[in-house]
Amino acid sequence: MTQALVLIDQLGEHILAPTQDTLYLVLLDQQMRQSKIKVDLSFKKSGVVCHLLFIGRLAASSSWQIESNMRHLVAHTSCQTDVYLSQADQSRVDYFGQIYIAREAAATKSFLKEQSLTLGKSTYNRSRPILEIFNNKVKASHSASSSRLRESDLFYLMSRGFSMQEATKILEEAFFNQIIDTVKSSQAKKIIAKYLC
Amino acid sequence: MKKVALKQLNDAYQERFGFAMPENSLLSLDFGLSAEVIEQISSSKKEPSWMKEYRLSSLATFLKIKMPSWGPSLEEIDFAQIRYFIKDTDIEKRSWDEVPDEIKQTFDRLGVPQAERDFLSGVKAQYNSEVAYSSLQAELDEQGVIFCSMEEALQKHSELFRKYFATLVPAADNKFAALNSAAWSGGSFVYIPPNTHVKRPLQSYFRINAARMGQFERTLIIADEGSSAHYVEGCTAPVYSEYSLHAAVVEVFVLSKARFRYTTIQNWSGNIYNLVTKRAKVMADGVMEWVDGNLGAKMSMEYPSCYLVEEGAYGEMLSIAYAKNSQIQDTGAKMLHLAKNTSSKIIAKSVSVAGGASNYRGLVYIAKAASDCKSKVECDALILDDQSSTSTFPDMKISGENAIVEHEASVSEIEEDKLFYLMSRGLDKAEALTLLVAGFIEPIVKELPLEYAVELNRLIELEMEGSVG
Repeated sequence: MTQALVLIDQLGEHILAPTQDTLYLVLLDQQMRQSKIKVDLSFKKSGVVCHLLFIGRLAASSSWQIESNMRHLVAHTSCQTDVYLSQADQSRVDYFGQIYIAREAAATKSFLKEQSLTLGKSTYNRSRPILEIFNNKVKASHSASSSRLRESDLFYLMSRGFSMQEATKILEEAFFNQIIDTVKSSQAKKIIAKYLC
Repeated sequence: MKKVALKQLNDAYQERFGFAMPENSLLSLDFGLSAEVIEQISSSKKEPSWMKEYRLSSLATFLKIKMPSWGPSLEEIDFAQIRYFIKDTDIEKRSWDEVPDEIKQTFDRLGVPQAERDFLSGVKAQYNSEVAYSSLQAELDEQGVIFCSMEEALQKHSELFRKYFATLVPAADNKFAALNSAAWSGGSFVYIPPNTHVKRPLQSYFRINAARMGQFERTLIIADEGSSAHYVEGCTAPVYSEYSLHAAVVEVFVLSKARFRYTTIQNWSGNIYNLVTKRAKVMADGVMEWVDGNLGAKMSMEYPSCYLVEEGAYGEMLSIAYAKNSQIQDTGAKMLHLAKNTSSKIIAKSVSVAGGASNYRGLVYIAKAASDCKSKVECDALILDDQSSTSTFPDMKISGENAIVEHEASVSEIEEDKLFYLMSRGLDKAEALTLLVAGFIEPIVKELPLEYAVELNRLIELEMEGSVG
């Protein structure tokens, strides 16, 4: 089955109940200084497979609250949630990501991955990935990591003649490319590429 | 349904740990908590006035603080229906022959004197509210190691005691810390002098014998500079239809370049609420390791923490939670990175079976001043049937520069092909499941001293019996 693409670029709460395979693409506005976005997916139809992807280049001194809630209420649904963020100087992010699998939701697969790349100084990152599992016939996991650019990578690029700023940009692109490579929709890839330009 | 499940749990436990001895106490205070009860506890222990005042002010704090608004329900606990102090012996004994018969028989049946002879450096056996027996190898005594009850430490090592007591877990920390601060009785005081290495573990064994009783032991440990030691605590209780409460406070001070490991094998009976506050303060290049095995209790809420306050400090938590028959194991760890170049690791594994619920609740905090910190968290959960549940509630707050923080959690059931393989080799389903569960928790069990690892595996086998329908 082909995957539908839904672009979420409005702030606020998005309460959704997917009925077909869908890629939900959330691009965080790079101009915003302070903002809040929440995406709730309630899986009520069996067989639905979704991918929720947040991509954000958080501007200096910006502050974001991001929330995702995956509620698997029936059997045989799948979801992959990815949150990829880069943080400039003094940016703040508070992420809450829940996977809930109800007692009736056997054969669910749900995974969450949050990666945050710190580019600037004095950043703040809070992450709360939550799993609540009430069925044993499931596969579920989450991972969250926060790290800086590696000095050795920067050093290598700068030794090849790139400035600090250029080297940082290349490594930031490489960070986002990890997730872009997993996106099947060419239309979605184009939208992400435009966002990252 | 819940009552049936609880009965099954208690039946399995009854023979080995759940026996009760007749009550033969020297002093048993009436139910309920009041200033008079606190004053009676204090005067029974002949405490200095500052401790009595501390207890009374903690009681006022306890009455002010509300019950936790998060986590499993604690509605059943009625503080007016608990006995806060039962004194079974007049002074703590140095020889098993002097210990009153019923207490000695209890610890004999639990294998404590045998373990002391075979592989321990020192033992403390607490029965209800006070320590009944205490021993320490003579050579450690000569080296200046102190391993005694908190009451003895308050009298004989008052300066050291007062310097550290309640400085890491103040009464206002939470409702149960306040309760413990007001009503504390028993527990261990450990001091390891600088550059002293205690090779064999020191052990405390906590036993609640009475129904509707609260055990509020308090443990204070100081590992001085460059020292190392391993402390082990075990807990059991008889099976009663009414609940009892265990609300302990543990404070561990790991000074510069010291190394301390604190192992708990919690196997309370299925009628105990186990609500414990454990905290360690780790100084420069110090290492603190918590090893936690939570198998028993009706409900456990326990989140040992490390305050990494100086450069190079390291904190580690290895934990196993086994939730069966409506038990709730709400456990986890907290790592607070308050200085630069500090690191921590949390590995938590849980097994939920026959309606059990296991929750991981954890915090990694990296302060703004704490640059170049690293933390890694791994949580793995097994659910063995469709009646059980598991949850993870991690929280990571990162402000420090150059921090590297990783968190991973996964939930799975026993893989069918592994089960099939073992059964095709002649094991029945229960044996195959037990073996796979043992394999799942093996990374943590291997960190225990051999005797405890064997015991923990045997406990898991006991718990698994009858869990396959």
